[in-house]
Amino acid sequence: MTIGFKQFIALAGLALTDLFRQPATFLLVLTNIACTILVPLCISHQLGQQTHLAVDSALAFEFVFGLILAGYAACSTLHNECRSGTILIIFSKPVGRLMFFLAKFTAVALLLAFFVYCSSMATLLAERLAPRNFEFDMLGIKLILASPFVVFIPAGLLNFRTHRSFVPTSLFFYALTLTAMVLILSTLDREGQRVAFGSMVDWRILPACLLEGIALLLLAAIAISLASRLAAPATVTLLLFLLFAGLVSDHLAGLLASVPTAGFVLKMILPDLQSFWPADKLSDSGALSGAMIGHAAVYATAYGMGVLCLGYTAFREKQF
Amino acid sequence: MGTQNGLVIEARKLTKIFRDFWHRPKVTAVHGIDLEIRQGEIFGLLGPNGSGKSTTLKMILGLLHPSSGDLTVLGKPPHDVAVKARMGFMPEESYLYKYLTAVEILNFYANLYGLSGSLKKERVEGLITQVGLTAARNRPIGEFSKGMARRVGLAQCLLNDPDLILLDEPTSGLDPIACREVKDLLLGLAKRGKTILICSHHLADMQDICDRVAILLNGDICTQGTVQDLLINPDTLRLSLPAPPRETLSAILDYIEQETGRRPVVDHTGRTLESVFIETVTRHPSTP
Amino acid sequence: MMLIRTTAIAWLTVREAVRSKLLLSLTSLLVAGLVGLPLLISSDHTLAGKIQIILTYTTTFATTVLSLTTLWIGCGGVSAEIQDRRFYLVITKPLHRYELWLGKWMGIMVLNVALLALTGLIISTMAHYTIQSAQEPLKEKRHVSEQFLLAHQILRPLTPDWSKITVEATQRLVQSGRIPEKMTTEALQKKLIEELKIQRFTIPPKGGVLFSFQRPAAETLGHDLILNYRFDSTRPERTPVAASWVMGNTPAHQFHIGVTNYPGVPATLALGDDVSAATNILTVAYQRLDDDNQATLMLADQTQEPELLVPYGSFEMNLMRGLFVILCRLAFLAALGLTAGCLLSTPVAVFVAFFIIILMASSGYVEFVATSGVFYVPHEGPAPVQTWLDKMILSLFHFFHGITLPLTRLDPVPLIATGRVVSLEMTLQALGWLVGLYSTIAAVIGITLFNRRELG
Repeated sequence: MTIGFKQFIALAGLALTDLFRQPATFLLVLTNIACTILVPLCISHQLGQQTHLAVDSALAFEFVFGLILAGYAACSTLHNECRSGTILIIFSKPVGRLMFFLAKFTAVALLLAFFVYCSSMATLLAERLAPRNFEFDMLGIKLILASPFVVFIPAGLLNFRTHRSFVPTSLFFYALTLTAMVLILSTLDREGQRVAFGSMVDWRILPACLLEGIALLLLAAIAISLASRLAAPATVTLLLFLLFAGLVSDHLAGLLASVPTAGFVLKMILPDLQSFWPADKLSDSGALSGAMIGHAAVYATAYGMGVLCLGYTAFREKQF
Repeated sequence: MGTQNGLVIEARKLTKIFRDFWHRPKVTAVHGIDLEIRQGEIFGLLGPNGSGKSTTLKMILGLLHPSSGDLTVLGKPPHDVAVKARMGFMPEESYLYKYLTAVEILNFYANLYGLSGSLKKERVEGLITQVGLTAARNRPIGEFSKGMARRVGLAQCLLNDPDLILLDEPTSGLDPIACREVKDLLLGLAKRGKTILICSHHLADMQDICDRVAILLNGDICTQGTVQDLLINPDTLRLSLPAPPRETLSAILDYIEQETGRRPVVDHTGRTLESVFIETVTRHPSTP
Repeated sequence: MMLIRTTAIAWLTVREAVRSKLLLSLTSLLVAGLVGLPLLISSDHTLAGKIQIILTYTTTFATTVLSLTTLWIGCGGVSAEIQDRRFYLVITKPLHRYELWLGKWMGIMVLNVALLALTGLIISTMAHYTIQSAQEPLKEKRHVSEQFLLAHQILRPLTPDWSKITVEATQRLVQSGRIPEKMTTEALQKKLIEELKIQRFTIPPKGGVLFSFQRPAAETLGHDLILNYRFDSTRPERTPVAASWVMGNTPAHQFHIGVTNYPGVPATLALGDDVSAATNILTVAYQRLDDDNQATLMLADQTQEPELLVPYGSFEMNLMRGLFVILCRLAFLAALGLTAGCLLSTPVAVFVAFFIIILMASSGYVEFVATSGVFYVPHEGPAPVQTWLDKMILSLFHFFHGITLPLTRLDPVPLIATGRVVSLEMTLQALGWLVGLYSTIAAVIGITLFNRRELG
């Protein structure tokens, strides 16, 4: 293993560990899970559209919470390190700025991957829990209500006995618990009878969440680039602005139709987040094709690399 | 000022235990110490890192609550606001507002002390001059060097002409000349009846100015007393005399060896590096 | 002395916002949003639509941005300074922690006052400029100006005395011998009331309906009265209906206005202020002119009766009152943020405060659950049975509903956007509830927590 690779692993690993220990990470991930799963229990008047609404809401929560998490994580790991001065010690070692920058991005990306995984599991559960014919899935609800006890009590006991940090332990346990709940509910119907594995869960949700995860990685690239200069409030605000502008980019381009150059530039600069919004595709019996995901991934990679280049340029010139 | 018995700070079995989330004791930072600091003295609190100096200081400042024991400052509980009107504190790091200039920050703290009008102006201007920041008075603190920020820190703790002054590493980050000035300042304050409590690792500085010191280790006071008493070794003497001829010196040494059973050690007296530095800098033609 | 110290802390907060470029960023964001949003959002290309977009989106945008920023500054105001240890040199000075808290709160409010003043100026200027520079005819500009750039008091039609009418109708039926057998008088009266109410709001072909409004004594100063109404049709196609409004109590003051309206579309009619010069009661009658037997019109229902908008005061004063109510909301949010910051680290404090904001924003759903009692009822039997979980959750919703009710009711944005008056009563309620009660509770909790907090 080369020294460079070891350095990269060390930097990214430390950043990821630090991010997992942040109370804000804990709150954002768990709130996303709670909102995703509880929405179907609250909406029961849609006359046949409950599952659609549950999935739409879940995907929207994933997008927004993921965006805020990306912005917060990027600033927490990069901007705050610059501000506190700990970066000086790192740069007194033989570590290049490019490696440092990419390691931070990798840590944020891995955190978002974990977030997307938890969100995917929660979305699968939300779709399963959505009432059909005004009947609720009591088995699922009981599992959901039991999950905080299943997660927090062991995490608390571990903290009590071994002083292991409560926050990352809880997150890890929640990921495991959600996975277990999905596996259990995919083999049981609403009456608790055994059925063929996977028949009670809408697996089309997974590629949809993956597509959104790719969008979040794109936003993470933007966030880490912004975090090289801006603090958390400004970064998150700009990300929210980009989200809004990205979602209405077609409308903006229409407004600028009389000025083709401006419209073209706008379309190039703003991320085309509409191509990452999978909810419409999932309506009725639609599904996301591999080609669509591949196309989105290529776009995100190209855009993300461009943004990271800009971000690194800003970071490279930064003086401490 | 202080209590009837002239004690400015009085601690009896003062203890501070930091606990974890489950309320189990995690660290006993201060372990039942007894401390008495009298009016007009300069008291030094020494100890290695993690010995409990800062924790003790923070309890005296009312930033931390003692887990047990009694603590009075100027005859009152430390969190009493009236106590703070007569106290000045200079922390180890300059936790100042970086977007304010030196004058603005002193004016702000003066307002918190309730100073106003001509008295405030007089004090602020006087302290700016005293700490040598006249040229940089209108620059933001964020542009100051560490030493300059420390001077602002020192100035703000003297704004209210306090009866009790608490200093955490006051000479840290200062050059030897500035160090000397700070020490002279503190000695001057003590002569005026102020009580000074210093936490520092600079033992030479503490030896220079402190009347009494206490050495903390693992939350306990293991040694306490006047500097004089602590430093004196009553079993030995040091003589200073003009250098005699070789034969005379040898005879003197032989006689002492005969009387005491041990041959004395002889070397030339010298100056301290501090005095050499100050002399060199002050005498240099480029020094104004 | 307390005032000097508190003012010093407040002034420090303002200076920090200025010198850290926060105020500049916020001002730029506000100006960009207030000016840019109405340009971006498509209207129905009518002048009234444009004005409504300006008033709705700008006030909503400003309220949202300032709410979020106030929360952020509030949360960071204490927690960030504790984290940076800048508080050490402040907390060791002779000031009480409540003075510190209060000073921070005052500083945030000074910033909010300045930004709200700027917001009001921009909104007012944009609204007036848009009308003045519009290409529409003068008459329409005047109409839009009357509708949106004045504060109007809402008048609902006088409710008929149903009891009296029912008794009279019952007597007539009794006299004519047309009462069904075995029907009691109470049952008959109940059925009659239902029928009469339905009749009031349904208009058969060539039929009509009458409404009376009690006008206030204040003069309208030459401004129009505005009648807002809407009706629906039993015909599924939205074909327009010709009708006539007859305004005025006496023939001498009556005039007719012919209208053609589409079902389901809100309509507005401007009336001269001399229609009821003789008395304070204004009578308006709606008369259908078509004989389409396929369509029975329903002039909305009891909850959506026609409303008469009477000029009350100037737009600028109304806007000021509305912004004052928003300021009271911001005062509460500042107190909330500071309280959260007293106990928690900055990101956690922000999160908790935002959670409370979202709860406030979900007050509509909370109200629905609290009033209907429908949250989640398992269907495991012939009739829904509430379990202990349902009762617990419903109690929680009732509690949240009680807390968020003043916040829901005291929202001036829809009133400003539709030219309705933000009453003095509302401003005083906002001051009492949001500042006097909620902010005080938050302050007490925050200061108590702050007093007990160790800063080691």
